[in-house]
Amino acid sequence: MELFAQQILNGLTIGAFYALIALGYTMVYGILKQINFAHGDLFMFGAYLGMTFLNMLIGAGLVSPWLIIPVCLASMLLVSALGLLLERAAYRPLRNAGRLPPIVSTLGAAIILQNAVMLLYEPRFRWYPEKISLPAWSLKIYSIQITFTQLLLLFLSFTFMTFLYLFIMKTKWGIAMRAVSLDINTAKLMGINVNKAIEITFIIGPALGAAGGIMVGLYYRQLIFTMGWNYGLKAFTAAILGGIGNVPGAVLGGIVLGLLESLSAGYIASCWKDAIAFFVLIIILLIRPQGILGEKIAEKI
Amino acid sequence: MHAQAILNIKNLTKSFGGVKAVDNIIMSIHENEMAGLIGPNGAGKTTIFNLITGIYVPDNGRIFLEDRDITGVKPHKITGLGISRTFQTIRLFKNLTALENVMSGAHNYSYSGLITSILRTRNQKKEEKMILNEAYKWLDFMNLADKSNELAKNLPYGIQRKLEIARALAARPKLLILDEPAAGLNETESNEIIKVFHKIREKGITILLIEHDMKVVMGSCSRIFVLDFGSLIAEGTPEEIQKNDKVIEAYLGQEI
Amino acid sequence: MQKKYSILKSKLAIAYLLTFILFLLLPIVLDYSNNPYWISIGVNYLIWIILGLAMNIALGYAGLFQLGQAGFYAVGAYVVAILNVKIFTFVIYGITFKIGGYSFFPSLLIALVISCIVGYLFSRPILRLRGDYLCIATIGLGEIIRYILTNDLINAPPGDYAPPMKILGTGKSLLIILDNPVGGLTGGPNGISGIARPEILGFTFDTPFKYYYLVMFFVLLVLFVMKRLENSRLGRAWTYIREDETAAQSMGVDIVHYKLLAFIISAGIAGIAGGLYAGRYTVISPAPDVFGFGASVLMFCIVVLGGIGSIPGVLVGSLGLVLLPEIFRSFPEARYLFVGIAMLLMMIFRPHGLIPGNMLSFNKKYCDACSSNT
Ligand SMILES: Nc1ncnc2c1ncn2[C@@H]1O[C@H](COP(=O)(O)OP(=O)(O)OP(=O)(O)O)[C@@H](O)[C@H]1O
Ligand SMILES: [Mg+2]
Repeated sequence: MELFAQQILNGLTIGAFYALIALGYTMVYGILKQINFAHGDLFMFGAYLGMTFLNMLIGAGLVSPWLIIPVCLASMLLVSALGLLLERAAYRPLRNAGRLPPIVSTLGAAIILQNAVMLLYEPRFRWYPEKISLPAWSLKIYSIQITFTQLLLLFLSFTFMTFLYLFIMKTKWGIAMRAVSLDINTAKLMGINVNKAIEITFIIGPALGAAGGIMVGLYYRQLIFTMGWNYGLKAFTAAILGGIGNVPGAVLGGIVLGLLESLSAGYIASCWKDAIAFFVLIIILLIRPQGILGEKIAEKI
Repeated sequence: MHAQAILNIKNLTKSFGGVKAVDNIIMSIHENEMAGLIGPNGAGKTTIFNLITGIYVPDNGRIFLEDRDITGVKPHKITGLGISRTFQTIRLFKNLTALENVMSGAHNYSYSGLITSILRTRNQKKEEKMILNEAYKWLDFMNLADKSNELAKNLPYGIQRKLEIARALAARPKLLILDEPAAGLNETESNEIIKVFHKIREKGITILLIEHDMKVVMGSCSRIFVLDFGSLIAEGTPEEIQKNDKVIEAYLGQEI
Repeated sequence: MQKKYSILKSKLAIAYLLTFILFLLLPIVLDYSNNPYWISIGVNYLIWIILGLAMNIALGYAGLFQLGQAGFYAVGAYVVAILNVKIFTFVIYGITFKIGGYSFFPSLLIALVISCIVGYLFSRPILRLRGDYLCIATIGLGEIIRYILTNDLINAPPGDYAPPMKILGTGKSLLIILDNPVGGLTGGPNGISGIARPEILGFTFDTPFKYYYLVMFFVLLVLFVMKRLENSRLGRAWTYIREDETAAQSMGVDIVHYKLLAFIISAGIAGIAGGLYAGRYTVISPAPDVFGFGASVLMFCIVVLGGIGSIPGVLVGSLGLVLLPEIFRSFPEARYLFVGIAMLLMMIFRPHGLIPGNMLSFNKKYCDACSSNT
C-alpha cells in the first residue's frame, strides 16, 4: 500500500512533466496536423538555458530560490523565440508540400538543436547548480513522503495548464486557434489571421516546454543533450493517449502515462517501464485511436 | 415488367450517431436498366452507395447481388463480384497516370502475386499485356486515349470525371454505380456524359446513378427512386416522378 | 512521343550502367590508393542502401508511415548473431538435437525468415491504423523490440549452473540447454560479440574490400526484386493504396493483404541488412542510434530526402546521410550539425526530394507496350 501510494505520487510528478511537454505537441498537431519532432529538443534547450541563467546569477553573487522565477520566464521567452524561428524555417515554407517534408525538416531542426547544445555544453552530463535548490522541507502523510519540490512542481504545472486552457477557451486568439484547428481554409475565409494563430501556437507550446525543462532540471538536477528525444517521445505518446489536438487530453494523457510508468517500475521492473508504456499506447491506439478524450472523426466518403 | 433483378435491397438501415441516414429502404434494380437515385442534399444517397459497395456495414437489412447476399462483404470482394463505382468527390490516384489509374480496374480479375512477379513468368507477362490492353480499351471507350500518360492530377476536371468512369468500367462490372458524375460539368460535357451512359448500356452493364442535374436524370434514366431524410418517398418513371406530390414537396420550390 | 520515351529509357539505362560500374570500381580504386577507411564507409553506405530500399517499399510504394523499421534491422542482426554464437540443445523425450552454431549464410537465411515473421506479427494488429497513428504504433513496436533485446529475456540466475552451460527450461519431457550463455540470449546492453565472418567454400569475407562486394551482391538482389515489383500488379496495388485507400479498395485491392505484404517484405529486407551488419562488425549491441528510433529516423529521411518511391533517390539519399558526417569529419564535433542543416535546407528548397519518384514515373516504363499497342 505504501509502495503503491508512493508510486502514485511519483507518477503524478513525472506525469505533470509529460503533460507540460505534451501540450506543445498537441497544440501544433491540432492546428497543423503535424508532429513537431523538434519539440522535445526545445524542451531540452529550455532546461539548459535555465541552468545557464542560474549559474550566471550565482556568478553575480545572487543566491536565492526566488531567482527561479525570473530565470524561468527568461528561458520561456528565449525558447518561444526559437519556436517562432522553427515555424518560419521548418513549417511555413512547407505548408503546401504534403505530409512528409515537414517531418524531415523538423527532424533536421531537432538534430541541429541537439548538436548545437552538445557543442555549447559538451557531450556529458551537466548538473543544475547545487547552491540553488528548493527548500528540503517535506510533508509526511502516514509514511508517504511528499517533498516541497514535488508539491511546487505539481502546482506550477497545473497553473500553467489552467492558464492555457482559459486562454484557448476564452480569448480572441484562443478562439482563432480553435477555428484554425477545425478547418484552416474556412478559418482563412472567415478572415482569421491564420499565420498569427499558428505563430501563437509556436510561442505558447515551446514556452511551456521550456518551463517543463526547468522543472525537470530542478527535480532530477541532471541534464544530457539527448534527453529531448526520450521526453519528447514520451510526451508525444501522452498527447496521443489523451487524444491528440485536445488540450485537457494532453494533461490527462501525461498523467496516465506517468502513473503507468511509475507503477510498472514499482511492481514489474524499472527496465520494462518504457516498453510497458509503449505497449499500453498501442493497445489504446487499437481500441480507441482517438485517445481518451479525443472525438471520433469519421471520414466521409 | 418482370425483368430479372440484379440488385435487391431489403430493409436497409444505417444511422450515424442519432441521424438515420438511411431508413428501412427497399429497392430493386433490374438487369440492364438505367436507374436514378435522387433526393435533396443529405438525403442519404451516397450512404446507400457506400452500403452497397461494402464501405459501410448496415445496421439492419440485406443487400443481394443477383441471388447472392453481399451484406457485410468486404469492399474489394464486392468489386470482384461485379459492382464498381465512382465517387462524389473525385477519388483518382492523383500522382499516377491516367493509364495506371485505369489499370487498377483489372486488379480484381488478374492474379499475379509476389513470386510470379519477381520471376516474371510467362503467365505473368501475358497477364500484364492483358491488363494493359484492357486499360487502353476503356480509355479509348471514354475517348481518353490521348491522355493515357498524363498524371491524373494534371487533367481538367471534366476529364477527371470521365477517367473515373473509365476506371470503374475497367473493373468489368455487371452493375456500375455513379455518384453525381455530371456534377461540375458544363452543358456540352454533361451531354457527352449522357451519350456515354447509352454506350455503357449497350455493353449490357446496368447503371445506378445519383445525380442532381435533373436534365441528366430525366434524359437518361428509365426508373427513378426518390429519397428524402433517409426514406424512399417515390419510385417510378421520370414522368410519374415529375408529377408526384411528395417529390415536389421534398424539392419545395426547386424545378424538377 | 514514343521516341522521346525510348531516348529517356536508354538514358536511364546508361545512367544505371554507369552507376553500377562506378560502384564496382570504387573499392578497387580505394584499395589501390590504400584507403581502407573509405572502403569500410562504402560497406556502411551499401548496408544503408539496403535499409533505404526496404523503407522505400513500406513508405515509398505502399505509403505506410513507418518509423519502427530499425526493429526488423535489429531482429536480423540478432538472429544471425545468436544462431552463430550460441547453441541450444533440446532434449525431448530423450531425443537430443541442437540448434545454433551455424555459419553466416544459413543464419542469414533464417534471419530473413524470422524478420518476415516478426514483420507479420507486429504489423498484423496495427494494420488498420492510418497515417500518424500507424507511425506512432510502429515507433512503439520498434522501441519494444529494442527493450526486449536490451533486457535479455532469457537470463538464468548466475551461479546455479556453471558456465558454459545453462539450463533454460526443464521438465520431464523437455529440456533446453543453452551453450555459451555469456550474457544470456541477447547479451543485454552489452550485446553479442565474436560473431563469425561470412564464409563460403573456404572463402572468408574478412576484409572491408571483400565485404563490400558481398553487400553489393545483396544490394543488386534487392534492386532486382524491387524493379520487378515496381512494375507489377503487386507494385501497382501498393501505389493505389498509397494514393487513396478507399479508392483502391473500391477497385478490388485487398488493402489488408497488400499492406501486410509491404510490411513483411520490407521487414525481411531490413533483416538481411541487419544480418550483414552483424557479419561486418562481429559485435552488436542495442544502442538507440544503431537499432533504435534514431536508425528508423535515418531510414525515413533517406527515402524522403532522396525522393519518395524513387530507387535512384535511395542511392542518393543514403549517400548524403552516410557520407555527409564523414565529409565533415574534420569537425568531429559539429558534423551532425551539418546533417541537420542539410536536412532542413533540402526540404525547404526541394521538398519532393532530390530525385522525385514521378520524375521517372511509371508511364515511361510502358513505352514498349505503347509502341506495340498503337
Ligand atoms: N461517415 C459519416 N459520419 C457521420 N455522418 C454521416 C457520414 N456519412 C454520411 N453522414 C450523414 O448522413 C446523412 C446522409 O448523407 P449522404 O452523404 O448520404 O447524403 P447525400 O444524399 O449523398 O447528399 P449530397 O447530395 O449532399 O451528396 C447526412 O446527414 C450526413 O451528414
Ligand atoms: Mg452524396
